[in-house]
Amino acid sequence: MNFRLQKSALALLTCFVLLFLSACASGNKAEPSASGSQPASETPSASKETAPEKVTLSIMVGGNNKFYETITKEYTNRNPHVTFDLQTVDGSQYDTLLRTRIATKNLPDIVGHNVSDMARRYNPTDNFVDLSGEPWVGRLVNPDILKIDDKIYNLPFAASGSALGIVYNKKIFADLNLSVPRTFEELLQVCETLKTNGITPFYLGNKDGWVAQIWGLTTFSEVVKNTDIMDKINANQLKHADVPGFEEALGQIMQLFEKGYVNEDHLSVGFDGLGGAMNSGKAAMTVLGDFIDAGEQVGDYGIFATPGVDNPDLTVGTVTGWFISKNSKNIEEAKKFLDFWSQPDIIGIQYAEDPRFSAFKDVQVSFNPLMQAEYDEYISQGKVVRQYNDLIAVDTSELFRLYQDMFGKGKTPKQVLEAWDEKVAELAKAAELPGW
Amino acid sequence: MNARRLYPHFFLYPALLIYLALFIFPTLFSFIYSFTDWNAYRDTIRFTGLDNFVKIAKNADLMLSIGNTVLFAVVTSIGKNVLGMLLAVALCSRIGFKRLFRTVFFLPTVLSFIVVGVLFTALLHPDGFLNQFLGFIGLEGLRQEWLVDRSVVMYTVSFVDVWKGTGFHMIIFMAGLLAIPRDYGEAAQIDGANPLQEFFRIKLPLMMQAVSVNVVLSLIAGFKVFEQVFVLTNGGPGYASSVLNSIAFQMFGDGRWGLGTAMNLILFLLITSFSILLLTYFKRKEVDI
Repeated sequence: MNFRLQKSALALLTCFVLLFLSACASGNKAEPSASGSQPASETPSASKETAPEKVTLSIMVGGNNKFYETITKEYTNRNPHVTFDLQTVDGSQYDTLLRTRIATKNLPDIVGHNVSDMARRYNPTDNFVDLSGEPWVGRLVNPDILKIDDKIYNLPFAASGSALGIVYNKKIFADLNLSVPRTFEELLQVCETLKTNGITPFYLGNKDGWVAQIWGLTTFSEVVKNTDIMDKINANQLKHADVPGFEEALGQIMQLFEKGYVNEDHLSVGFDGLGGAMNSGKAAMTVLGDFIDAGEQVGDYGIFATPGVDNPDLTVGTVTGWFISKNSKNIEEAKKFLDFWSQPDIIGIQYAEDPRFSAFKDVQVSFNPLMQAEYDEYISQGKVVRQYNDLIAVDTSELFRLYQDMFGKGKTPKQVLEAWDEKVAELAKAAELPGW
Repeated sequence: MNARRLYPHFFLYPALLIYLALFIFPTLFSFIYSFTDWNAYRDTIRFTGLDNFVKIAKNADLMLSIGNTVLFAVVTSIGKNVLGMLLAVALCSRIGFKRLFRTVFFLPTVLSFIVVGVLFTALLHPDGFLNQFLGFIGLEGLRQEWLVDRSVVMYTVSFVDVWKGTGFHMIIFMAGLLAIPRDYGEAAQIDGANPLQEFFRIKLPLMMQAVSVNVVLSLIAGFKVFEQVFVLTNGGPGYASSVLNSIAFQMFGDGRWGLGTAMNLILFLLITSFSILLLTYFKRKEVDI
């Protein structure tokens, strides 16, 4: 009896050891293929000097624009030895995946991400290749916006990020003789006129956290402009709750709710519902950005800076683009691919699908009227301000949820700021930022 | 002889191994991690004692999610079991279209929660079918923002889960009812027991095993609530309908893994303690047929 027990225990143990060993072994094997490269030893025929070695470039990017596929296919057409493993990841999962892959040193060859996030959270010096010496750098329209410690780590998709603010229906404004409000008082007057004329002033899509944050984001950006508020907050010398401007800004949007200027179902509508609702003409304004999905009717809309403070500037986001992983085995090929992407006829494919302010001097983009007006009124005049999310040292997604809580009457503006301070402290301590 | 007695073990160990490697060990490791500050922003992991739990206790939003989890588990368990029992009794009595009703009531159980979520999000939208129907029959006062109003959202989510889960519990109750030999009931009727007495004095004690299975299963399922909340509200608005699992999911997404595992440990303790208490309670009530 005892002997049998021992024997079976031994058998169990042996199985275990085997299982673990095999798990480790397969883990080791999986690594090179996960990073997308094909081991040279597998293709002995390629060792002849003439035929280029077969390469698979792995690319990870958020969202699912068609041009990713179009352009990578075009590259394979011209360079048959290169194929792509294109991993387009759903927006809400992207950050998590990127964080995990950086933590586990398992990055794909090329990563699409925004500059400010990379600079603040992912230590580009250690994880990504310095691209300052690449041939396309000289053609950049706005190289300064890309610089992290004076070096360039990515090929940008655009000269500046999306603009955020209040998107308004120009026809409705014209019909009622309304002009674009430059102060919060003026905005309230515009809302009152709209309401008395039976038009919902604001149609908001607060079901999506990233949409819900835009009022706070744009007004906060104004509050901190040309001050040392963000430096102090990031260094743990100041709390959000102690900045009167922040509380005032959040109080403003709560006023819009209290006065009945907002659609009742704002917490049941997300980004997907906004374009259609605005196109139906039942509302005059929404808090969003120049990327509103209005289809053919995009020309009906204009954008103005959120008037949390008087005469505000337009808030612009950071720039997204391609980074090359330092651990990649195909850095040279990836660099060639980026150079290819920067060529006018290739990046033109991207802009045809998704018009942006051109990243390169020798590439012209035809804008829709919304973006043209944005360019004329704000961008070309230098009336832009950097967004709060790019200035705070930690990830802001928890703040989105706090805003939703406030819109659902679960927290006051003050409580939101206090809860946010708590979260900031927690995240900053976890990341061991200086001063925390 | 020896080989024959060893024989069953050959079937046991492979499953046990997989179970150990994929469940027991990760679970044990996660218990250890819940006492650390493990996160995505740093390579090193440090033991921080009870820090994570203090953080949870001090944070009103996280405590709300624990409260919501318990509320959901209790409300749905009562709802599913009471309704399931009523339906089972009704469908075991002499009424017409029994098979049809059985299928109808069991059908929601078969649906995936994604489908149910999409369906009910549309029905419960402020301008959705339910509110329009209430307006149509003159009950404007009962109209609610079902998935948005902080004070009702948790009950709405519970209701959807009860709607979906009742059929399953009904089937188990029916099995319990049908297993009771008919003579007991007939004997009681001859002795002059009315149907209520017959149910509470004879049928209920005899089907205690079914009751105990149902209550424990529904409570465990209730504590583990995730997809119901995820598809209907994603824990919102704000944190109003967040539960332990939805918070743990967010924490993992945010890279705060230590805190996420701590939430999981709390969930594990809740489930185990409730299950053990209930099982010992019901064990005493069970009667052999």
